[in-house]
Amino acid sequence: MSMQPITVLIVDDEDPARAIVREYLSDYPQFVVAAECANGYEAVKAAAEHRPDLIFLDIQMPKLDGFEVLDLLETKPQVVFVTAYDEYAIRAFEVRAIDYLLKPFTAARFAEVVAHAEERLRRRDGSARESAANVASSIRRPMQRIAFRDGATIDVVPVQRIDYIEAQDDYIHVWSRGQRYVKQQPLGDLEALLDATRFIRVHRSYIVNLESLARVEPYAKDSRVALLKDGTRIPVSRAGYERLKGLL
Amino acid sequence: MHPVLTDRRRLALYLFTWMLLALLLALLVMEPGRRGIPAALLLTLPPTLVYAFVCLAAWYPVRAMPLERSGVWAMLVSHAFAAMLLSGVWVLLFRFSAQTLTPVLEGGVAAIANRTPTLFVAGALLYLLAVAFHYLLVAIERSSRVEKQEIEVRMLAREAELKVLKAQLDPHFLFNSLNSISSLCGSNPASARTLTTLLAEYLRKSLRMGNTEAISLSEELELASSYLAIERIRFGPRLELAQEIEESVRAYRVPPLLLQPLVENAVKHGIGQLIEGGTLQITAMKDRGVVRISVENRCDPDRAPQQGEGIGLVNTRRRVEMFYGPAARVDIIDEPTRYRVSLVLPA
Repeated sequence: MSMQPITVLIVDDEDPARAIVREYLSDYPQFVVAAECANGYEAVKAAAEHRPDLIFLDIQMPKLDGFEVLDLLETKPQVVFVTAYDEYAIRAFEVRAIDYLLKPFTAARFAEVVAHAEERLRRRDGSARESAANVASSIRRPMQRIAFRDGATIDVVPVQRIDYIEAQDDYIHVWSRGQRYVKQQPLGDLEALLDATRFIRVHRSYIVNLESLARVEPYAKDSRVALLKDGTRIPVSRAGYERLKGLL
Repeated sequence: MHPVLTDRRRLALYLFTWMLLALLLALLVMEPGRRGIPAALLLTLPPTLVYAFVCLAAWYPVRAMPLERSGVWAMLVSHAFAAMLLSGVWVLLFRFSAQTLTPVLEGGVAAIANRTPTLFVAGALLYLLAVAFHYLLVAIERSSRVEKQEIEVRMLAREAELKVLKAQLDPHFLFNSLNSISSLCGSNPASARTLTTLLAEYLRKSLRMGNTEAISLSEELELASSYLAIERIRFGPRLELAQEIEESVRAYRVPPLLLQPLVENAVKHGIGQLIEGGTLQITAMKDRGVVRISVENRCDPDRAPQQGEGIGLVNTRRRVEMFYGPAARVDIIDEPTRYRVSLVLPA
């Protein structure tokens, strides 16, 4: 059993909230704080750089909340949520968080969390780390914004600015004001997260924002095409047309 | 709907009264030796009860001619006319009843015919009595309605206060503040002590204010200051404050906790959602005969569009209207990077 240090990331937008995690953690030398982050962007970057084993993650933060941060991480670390809100406990459970620390917390409670984290990390050590799963489905519904990551660049697109979404193999291409954003996610998963009264699956490979739709025209025999306000043409399947008709 | 017919107890009481009247009339038509009370009652009760229902129709003219909005003469003439018409019906009812009863009751027809003038006058008077009774009913219904409305208005005010108070003691604010205190205890005990005092002060003020009708703008701003001092410890330099309060409006009366929800929203949904933070600005001034109090903050241009107005704002509008009347208004400026709520109140 190797006793490598466990690298940790502390993410919270409030300075005193980060400080107490750091202070409590200083009693456990096997844990090494690689970085502290004051927002989601910093967290995603620091995670890419330090590949932490464990992340103490606040949920309510500007721009990117804790779940969105987790969704953007390629290698998911073990997660302990630290928050004043108790209403996220179920979603935390869904992403297999190690624990859920309610602010404020005692040193004894923190010791439990640390023991639990260490046990889980040591057990998994060496083997492929299976951790925070099912993250996308834990995003708040209906989704308000989608976060994309391209290397070190993070883009957050509010859903109301999306024109349409296109599936390409394992990836989705999200088009917003002529810009394309790419993410690896099945189109159906995303569809389930979006407000179904505003985003319509018009085709096996396309979802359209009703706000961006100008009109639907007949195309060849038995097929139709959706014309967007910016001139884009999108194929509409028969089932997609039925769904559109139901909403218009 | 008719107030007597829809209420079983009222209807029973009403009909009982008319039965007593039938008894009185029976005394009138009884003739000792020839016709006793039971026989006389047989003669008077059926037409009286029918007439009781006829008189319920007084409800319609009474409603059409409310006391306070109708001319005296018009009222007198129309009710008198109706009284005579219906009293005619009443006399006919008696005749009909006497005739039908002839096989079992001898001399009934003559007894009624002899008393026609008396009966006619009695019928007319009874109808007018019914009219008076219906006016009374209308008045009772109205006063109970007014009372109900008053209670409702008071309850709305109470509810708004409670909601504000509840929002005031936002558990997340409390828990986050307690977490800050817990953290500072280790790293900066002096700061922890300051924060504890600030929090106590803030709680004391807001609890005390819930019991007062009105406070000065200065007092309200002091509360906002305690709140913001606490939030400054949590948010650090991300939260900048700017206040511009004209001297002349410091004593202006406001309902307690009027600004507090606006200030909290500005922190929670405005500046708290910005990575780089921003300035929260509170201004109050006299301006062309009105007092204008504004809370303004920077905000995230990518924020989710609001579905209608938040509950907080709806409450603020209601409270402003209740306290200052319809002349006051709440203006919202909702721009991509700026959000401002202005209360425009009578000076």
